[in-house]
Amino acid sequence: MKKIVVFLLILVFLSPFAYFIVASVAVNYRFPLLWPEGWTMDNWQQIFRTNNGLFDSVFTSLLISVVTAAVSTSAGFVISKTLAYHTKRSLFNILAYLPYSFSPVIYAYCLYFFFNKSQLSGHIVGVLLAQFILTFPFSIILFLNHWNTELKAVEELTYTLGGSVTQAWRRVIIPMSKSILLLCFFQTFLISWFEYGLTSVIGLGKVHTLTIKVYQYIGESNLGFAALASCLLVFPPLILLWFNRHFMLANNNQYA
Amino acid sequence: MNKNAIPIGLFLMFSVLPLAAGLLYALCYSLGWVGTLNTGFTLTYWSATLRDGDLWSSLGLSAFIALCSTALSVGLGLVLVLGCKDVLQRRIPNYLLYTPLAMPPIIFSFWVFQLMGSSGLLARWLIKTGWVRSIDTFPALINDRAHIGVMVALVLSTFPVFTLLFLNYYQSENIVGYSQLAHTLGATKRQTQTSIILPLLLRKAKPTILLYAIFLFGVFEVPLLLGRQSPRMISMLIHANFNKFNLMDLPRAYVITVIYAVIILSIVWMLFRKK
Repeated sequence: MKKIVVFLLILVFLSPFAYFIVASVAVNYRFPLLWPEGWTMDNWQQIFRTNNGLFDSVFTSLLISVVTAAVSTSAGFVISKTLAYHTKRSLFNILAYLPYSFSPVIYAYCLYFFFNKSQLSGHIVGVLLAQFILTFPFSIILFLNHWNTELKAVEELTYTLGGSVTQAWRRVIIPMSKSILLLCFFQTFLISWFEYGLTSVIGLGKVHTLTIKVYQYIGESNLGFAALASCLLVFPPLILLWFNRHFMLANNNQYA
Repeated sequence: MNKNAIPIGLFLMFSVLPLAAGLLYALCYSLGWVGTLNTGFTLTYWSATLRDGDLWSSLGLSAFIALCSTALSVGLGLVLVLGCKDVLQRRIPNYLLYTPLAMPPIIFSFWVFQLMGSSGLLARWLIKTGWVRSIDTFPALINDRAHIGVMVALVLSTFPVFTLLFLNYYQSENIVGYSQLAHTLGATKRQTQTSIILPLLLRKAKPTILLYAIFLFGVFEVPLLLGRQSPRMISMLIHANFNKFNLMDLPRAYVITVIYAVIILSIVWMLFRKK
């Protein structure tokens, strides 16, 4: 029984990764062949050719995701402290859930008019702002549960012992919150890294992130490049997963 | 000025205001108050859209797919946890359960497309083994009427999440302790599972299950690649109406957006107010 379960898990979960690697280096992988006729690294070498745009997409995705994650995490951390100790905490919690539960692509269509009017649509700054609007409520939800009476008591003790506000943040609050800060950074990074619908609407297809590239290659029936772009999209989260599985599930546990 | 005013103001500005402004604009557009087709207050677009069968079939289809996918994922997760808990807690199987979390919806769609498409891996293997004679006799499993491809992609992406969640709750809720107590009091294995473990796990996971159903209701990337043109899921219907060349379809797109928002926001509001 144990071996069957492990075999099925391997088959279901590792086969997509194996397929993307094979398809990205395959030559003449035409129907009805089960296995390609040959192998080539041409597609992978294309990443570094500037006219291809794939390297730019990796860079654009990385830039958008890192900036979105950094800004959402820092803003969410600071702002959530006030919200958590406020008498209307539960109301703020519900309000943060409202945009978070909305389908990103439909949210993007709601916001599109304002982005268009402010000439932010079709521009990387617009995509950054839109993704911040999407990830910021998530970081608030995550941090609201972090601020508790224990942390507040330690902070007040710092002031009692003569510490300033800056010292309390630098020496007490941030070090005590290191793990949740990292967790929020990685989670918001992943939300941004995986985002397609909102980016395609606000970016007007002009901001070429990796998810946009994957869909573009699928549309062109370019299997090799679609598989290659898929590899580039899934390997960074896989590496992250290898280092710490805890970061990956927080997204799902925080509702409970 | 109150020292809380700035953080609360920033929270409202970036969290609540964009959604409220977007929905207000959508409502005003759908009522003919704003936009290029602005003719003053009218209920024409609302009455036309509400009489349209597409809207109701899309809402029904989205609800059906969301409920079926969530139920299948939860069921599969429970079966795995109840049947193979010890195996799943081992290092490699546990790591494997996490791997789908590294895949975005668009990659799941692409994988199912390559696996179940008419020239996909499954069709190639069945032709090779002689089970299917040609590509024409291979059944449509993607872009199909029953939305099998969409549901397979959604279940593949969500059941590992529920499995991991139930595994975590198994430990955090001391379910082993309750099971032993039930056994000591004379309960059979089946009674323990149906009367103790399942209710405990489902009650704890209820908010997450409901939120996942809400997410799946508005899912976009999966039906974009694997769904059908008609009937289509609600996100695809809104997307299609916003992207038509005819400007007359824009008010309709905004009407559907407002209806979607009312449904989702009411469910979330009720869910968390109750909690």
